[in-house]
Amino acid sequence: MDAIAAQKMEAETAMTARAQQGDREAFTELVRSHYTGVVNVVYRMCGDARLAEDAAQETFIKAWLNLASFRTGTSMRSWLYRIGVNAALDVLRRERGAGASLEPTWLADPAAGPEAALLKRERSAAVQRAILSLTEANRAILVLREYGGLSYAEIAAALDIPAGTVMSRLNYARTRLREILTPEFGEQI
Amino acid sequence: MNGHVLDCLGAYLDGELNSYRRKSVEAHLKECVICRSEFEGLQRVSQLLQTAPAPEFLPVEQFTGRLALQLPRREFTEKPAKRVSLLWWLVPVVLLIAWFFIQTVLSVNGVITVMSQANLVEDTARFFSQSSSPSLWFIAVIDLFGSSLDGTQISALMFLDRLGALRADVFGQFIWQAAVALLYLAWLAVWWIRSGSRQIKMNGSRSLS
Repeated sequence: MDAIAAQKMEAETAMTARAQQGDREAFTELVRSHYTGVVNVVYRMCGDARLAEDAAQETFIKAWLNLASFRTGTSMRSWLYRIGVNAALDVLRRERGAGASLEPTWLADPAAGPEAALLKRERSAAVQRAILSLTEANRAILVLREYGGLSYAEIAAALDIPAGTVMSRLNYARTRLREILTPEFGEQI
Repeated sequence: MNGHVLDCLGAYLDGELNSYRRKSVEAHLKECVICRSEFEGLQRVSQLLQTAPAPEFLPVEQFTGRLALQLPRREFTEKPAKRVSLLWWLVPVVLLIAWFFIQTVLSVNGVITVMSQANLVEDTARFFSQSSSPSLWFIAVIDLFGSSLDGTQISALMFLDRLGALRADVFGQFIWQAAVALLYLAWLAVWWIRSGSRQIKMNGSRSLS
């Protein structure tokens, strides 16, 4: 670990300790540093920007309420992602229960031309649809690896499964995605 | 080519293999067209996932502002929890100290009794030793089996009684030790159940296994 990373981790540990004592400002700092990662992970889990923001909010509220159970010295990022994965699945189930359409949503990029924007949008939606077609367990592993950037050991710890299972499910998920995406992307896959 | 490494390609792509395994996969990929093609496919999928853009989410400041309004008040039980935790860990220590104390008292008592029998100690020490009258167990054995015992056997029993080997309250000792052991085992059981439930409670109610 380089000096900057060590310093960053030390600062986060101090911030976490303050947040555990009830310091809301310290907790807000933690939210600021993990928001992008959490919202990306939950978006990939549920495939909808609005639901992702709700799930991210639930994630941080749960984290705030359970901060006392966070063990110092472990990874805050893995801990938040685990809560995030569960929050995203909860939000998704609620939404499905309410009978809402769960097609991946996309916001138009005003800078791109209409055709390029449409192509980008379609491709992104195809990728997101393929991810959503995986089972919850396989999707969680894939998302934590590809979008959360967690190692196999971190994923195993976050989801309470053996590292060997992480490897085999990840292999399966990637192979499955390749099969799904090949007709859409042709030679690019 | 034999010995394909298809199962390891994902881990190789993610940099999760140890150096020995990594080198062997690299060497294999140079020679095996099937595995190389599979690996390139995995690389492209991973790249496609990484480059698929996500929509724009709420800016972080707006999100934290909204979150601040939603954050509920939290009860702080930090200090009582620490006290409970300290008391919790004191239980086995106290039990071990109690067991050690009882063992010591009984052993010292036995030694003093034997020394007293052998007239090796003064009257003060004799005061702490057990009485010189026959033990209950000796009286009970003689009452029950006295008629069937020969002289040698009775002498042996008298010798044991005088020696004090069985004079100590064996039943009492057993009860004490069993009670301490039971309490210790109960503590272990409760600790195991508590640690299990804490793990389940941590980070939500469900795990994705």
